[in-house]
Formats: sequence, C-alpha cells, structure tokens
Amino acid sequence: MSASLGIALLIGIAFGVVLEQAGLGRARKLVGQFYGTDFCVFKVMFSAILTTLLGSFWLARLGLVDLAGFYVPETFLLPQLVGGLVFGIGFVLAGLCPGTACVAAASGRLDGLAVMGGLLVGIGSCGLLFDRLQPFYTSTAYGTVTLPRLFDLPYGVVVLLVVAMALLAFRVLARFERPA
Amino acid sequence: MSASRALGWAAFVLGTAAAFAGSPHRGGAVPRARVDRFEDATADLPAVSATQLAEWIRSREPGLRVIDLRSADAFEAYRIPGARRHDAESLDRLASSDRDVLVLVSADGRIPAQAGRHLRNSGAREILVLRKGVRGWLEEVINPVLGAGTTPRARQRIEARAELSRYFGGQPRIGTPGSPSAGRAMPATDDVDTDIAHLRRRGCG
Repeated sequence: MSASLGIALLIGIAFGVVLEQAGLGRARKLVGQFYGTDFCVFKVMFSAILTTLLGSFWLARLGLVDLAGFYVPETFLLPQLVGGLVFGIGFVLAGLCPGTACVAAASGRLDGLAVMGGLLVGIGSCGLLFDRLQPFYTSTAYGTVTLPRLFDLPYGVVVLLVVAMALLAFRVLARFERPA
Repeated sequence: MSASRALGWAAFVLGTAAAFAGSPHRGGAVPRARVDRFEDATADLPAVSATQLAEWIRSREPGLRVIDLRSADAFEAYRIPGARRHDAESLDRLASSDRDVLVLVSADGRIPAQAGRHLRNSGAREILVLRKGVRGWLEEVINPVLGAGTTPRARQRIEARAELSRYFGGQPRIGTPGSPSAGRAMPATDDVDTDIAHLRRRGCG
C-alpha cells in the first residue's frame, strides 16, 4: 500500500509540474477558455481523455489490463448537474479549478492560496451539513453509466466516435480561437 | 508534419482500429469457482437472501451471528462484515443462546449436512443458510445489477437497494439483469476469487 501511495505521490508531483510548465497555474490562461481567447484547457483535457481512452482500450484488448477492475463512479443525475454548475461558476469566478489551484498555491500565487482556502471551507461545510444534504446527494441514482451501455453500442465504436469528436473539435477550435 | 498533427493521425488510426478490434472485456472460458468442498449432501436448513442479511447487518439485528465456514485463506481474502470464521467440523462446539440467529456462510451456499446435525441442539433461536453464499453476497449486495424502474415505487425500491449496496462499499449498476450490456460492464464473474480480487483492487476489502 505504501508503495502505491509513493507512486501516486510521484505521479501527482509530475502532474503538477507539467500543469505549471504548461501555464495552467495562471488564472488568466484558464479563463481564456470562457472568453474564447485560449482553448488550452479544452485541448489538455481532451488530449488526456483520448490518451486514457485509447490506452485503456488497447491495453485491455491486448490482455494487459482488465477493465472490470476499473472503478467507475456512479451517476446521480440531479446532484451532479447542480455540482457541475456550482463548479463551473466557481471556475469562472476564481479562474482556477481544484487541481490548478493546488499548482498555483504551490507556486506561491495568492489567488491559488485563496482558492485552496475556499475549497477547504466548502469541503468542511459540506461535511458538516451532509446529513441534511444526503437525501438530495443520493437522489436520481442511475448506477454506473458508461457510454457503451447508455447507447448500446460496441465499446470500440464509442472509442472511435469520441476520438472523431475530439479531433473535429480541435480543428474547429483552431479556426475560431482568437488571440487575447 | 508537426508533432500535434502526427499525434492526431495516430489517435485517428487507433480509434478507427478500435471500432473493428472487438470487445476489450475479458471473455472466454472463466475458471470455475474454487469453492470449499464439503460433503456432497447439503444441510436441510432454511435460507436467507444476501439482501435480507445485509439489511440485518446494517440495522444491527439483535442476536445476529454470521458464521463463515470457508477456509481461513478465503476468509482472509474477503469476509462479510461482522462475520466470524468457524470450522464446519467443529460446529458442535459453537456456543449460542436462544436469542441468537445464526447465518451460515459458505462460498456458494452449500452447507455440509453435518453442520445442520451439529447445530440442531445448539439452542440458537434460528439457524439459516446464506443463499448462494459469498457468491450471492457479491452478486446481490456488492455488484447488484438493478432493473431500471418505471414507476416511482419501483425507483424508490431500486434506490433503496443501491443505497444498501453503497453502505457495504458496493457498486450498484442500473440495467437489465442478465442482459448483454449489463453483463459486459458487471465485474461479477463465475469465479468468486476473481470477483474478490476485483473488489480488493477497487479498494473495498
């Protein structure tokens, strides 16, 4: 277990360094996403999704990993929609998301430290109010939903569709991206 | 060609090939369960479902005692919360009172006939067998496939089952039990050991 945690720590540090090097610890760069001036976040996120999607598919297809061992979080439709909305509003207001706030704070930026403070207050408040929030938190449960099951399509076809969608989006964004 | 364009082409080629590569889920012959071998005869005892047992454990049913008759290794690998291990051969030495409800657990629900004989005079209020054993627990409580509810009452039932599953660290799934789509995504296999290995990788157990 300690070896796993050690590896996780190393991966986390490497992830943070890459984010910082890519400039994703700066709020101005991140909010460019919402003003249509910089789609770096979108590109980074979709590149990560494609890498994970193709990597997990082909590693599983070659028998190197077992997809049944992957943990897929459950879907709670309404609370997750509300959570996504709150997250989005917080992202625009602060200019940072939780991961990039950690990077900004580690780099000594005050806005990063402030967002981390808000994050901890939010987590603590949610924990203290959890008994009251729980009925909503566990409402509209749909179990673990995956795209192949939702659309009743073969796994590989879903992989192709997501790849095609991402590549198309990259191409379209490159055309419409306007410098700040 | 720039690096980003080359990566884009690589993703396109791998994605296109994925559409024709078949299922990435492990299929084929699954090794049969390595269950504890008791005598062929099965004890004639009433059974309790895994869901009912889970509700009893969660509500801390007074007098409930879950007795696991599997091997020490199997018990160490995975156990039902609150269960105690006991050798099937020495059940006659199991002390119990008239308030006890004993639930006997095996790997697949089969209990040796001698266990029933040994417990007949134990004085316990009730002696039950967990239906389908640990396999049933994994299927019904930890990895349940719950049918999609169409009425409010059905949805309420499904949410209650899902909540019970989550209480025990389970991962409920919505789908039609036995349907190909549910089966593909469901980690439960014919092999109890494989299911337990999946469960441990997931961090529950």
